[in-house]
Amino acid sequence: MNTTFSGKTYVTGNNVTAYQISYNTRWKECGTDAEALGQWLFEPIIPEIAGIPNGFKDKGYEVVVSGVDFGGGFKSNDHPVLTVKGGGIKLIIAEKFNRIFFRNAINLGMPVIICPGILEMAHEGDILEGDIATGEVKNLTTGMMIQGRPLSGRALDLVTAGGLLPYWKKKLNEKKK
Amino acid sequence: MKKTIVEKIIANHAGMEEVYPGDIVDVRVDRLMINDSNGPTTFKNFNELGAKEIRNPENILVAIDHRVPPWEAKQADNINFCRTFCREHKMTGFREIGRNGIGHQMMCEGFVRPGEIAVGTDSHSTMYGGMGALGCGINSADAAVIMAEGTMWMMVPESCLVTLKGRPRKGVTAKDIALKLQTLASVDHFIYKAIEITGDYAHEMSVASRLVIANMLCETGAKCGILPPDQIVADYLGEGVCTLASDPGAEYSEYYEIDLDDLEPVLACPHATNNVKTVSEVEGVKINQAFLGSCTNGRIEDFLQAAEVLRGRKVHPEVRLIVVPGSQNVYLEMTRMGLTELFVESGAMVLSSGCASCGGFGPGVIGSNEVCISTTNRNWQGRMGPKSSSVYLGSAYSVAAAAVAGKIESPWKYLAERSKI
Repeated sequence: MNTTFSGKTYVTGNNVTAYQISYNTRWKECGTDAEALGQWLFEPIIPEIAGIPNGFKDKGYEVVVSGVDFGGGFKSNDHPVLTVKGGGIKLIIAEKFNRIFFRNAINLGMPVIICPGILEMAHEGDILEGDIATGEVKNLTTGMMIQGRPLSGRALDLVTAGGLLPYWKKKLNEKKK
Repeated sequence: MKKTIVEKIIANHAGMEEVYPGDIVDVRVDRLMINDSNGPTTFKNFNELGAKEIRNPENILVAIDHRVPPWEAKQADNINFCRTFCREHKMTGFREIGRNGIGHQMMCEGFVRPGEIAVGTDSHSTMYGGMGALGCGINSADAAVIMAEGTMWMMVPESCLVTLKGRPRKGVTAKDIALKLQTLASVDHFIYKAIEITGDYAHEMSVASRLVIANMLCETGAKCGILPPDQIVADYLGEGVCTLASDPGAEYSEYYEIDLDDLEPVLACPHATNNVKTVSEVEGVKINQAFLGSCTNGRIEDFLQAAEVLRGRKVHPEVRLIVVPGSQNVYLEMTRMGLTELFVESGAMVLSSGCASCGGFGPGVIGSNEVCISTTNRNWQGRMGPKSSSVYLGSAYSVAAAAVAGKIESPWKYLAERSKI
């Protein structure tokens, strides 16, 4: 069971809201199709990619590091998480996640690590590696390490199974047999 | 280990002796509210799961509140999908139009009980904390799994303790306290935390007032808000003594106090719930509409407050006052009490129960550049109408006072006049 994810890192600041991950007009256009939504990841916060499909994805980032309240704004929709997932991101590490975003990330099989202090040790373009099972985050570019919160129990099972519905579908299917 | 009430409830529902903040555990869910916004997706998810049956259908309440009665065929079809699903699965908790209400309100009319874990497919499910339950919002995938398995995963929150000191003056309500709570810390500070409200006044307040506070705690980003249950909640439910409480000496991550003696009527000004000012600071702002209702303040207690101001007075000629009971039960009671007549006589429009325009759709949305004063829970830019419109949030007293004056005005002025008579 793979619990380690690594890649080139994109760093955002604090309070990146659901509407800054992608515009809600894109949610209406794309529905809950992660691939379609992913084309517009971070369009609202990076002016030069406005209106350019895959503007962010083509830059090859695989890890997002963020400050507090990532995914905030009290929107219970799945779209923000699906946008990040569809935008080629394998792991999000944040000082603190918005509650609904965090819950939806786990429920949609998006690897996340809560890691106070991460903003100080990650820079744009660094290669970061994080293990959701141990919470350990390594900056492979600088050699620094930091301990985040591991995902435990059911949450880890859900993420590795690809999300809440795939997990329970499989489980309920096994019960029938 | 000394435990907070939230830790006790979670440990009890996880079948564990102790739980610690940050732990992720599976908990048994006692009550589930599904509304018409998320019902169709929830039921489709349930079908997709391939579960044999619904675990505890009697613990599920299905509310039609966001689009009621439907005004577009698509909405009617969605409700029909829910209706048929519930009939096929013998879910007796489907509340048909005419016997309906806002889901959160119906959950607190004898369904949710102290010490339970009660969740809903809507963020204001924190309201169940007013009953002494752990209440929080979930999405449609969570709801489908709860239907199939009766459980959900949950991260144990850190608990913060807010002590209410003293007693509020006449005209200062639970809504004013709830708005004051929004200003205790920065916007993102309470994320994922549990906020417990204590102090003498927390145990003197009516259940209706407690619901206002727990409902609005959602806006702080907290996982849940809880007012420990007591005899007042037990009496409201017609049940025996309720002793659930935090252990004396339980540890909290933070402590806050609110001085109620000094609290004035306050409003959350455009466009944030924590942009709180005293009514006197914004007196004179002209309004186009006043709104009394919602899951936050759509109960008899609120309508009685509004009636204190409106009795014998008329809504200002340039203002519309819209009154929306939180449930058909509330509607019936207010009608029996003569409040419906009083509102209509004063020039208000009384709608049947539901969320109405609180979320920016439904009857009573406002137009470009218009200003509404409302007892609802959110005033983000464009919440109740176009981006150029704005919303002030306040108590039923403050809303009724503005409806009469045509502008924001202190409710104290009207209450003082009344006491002279």
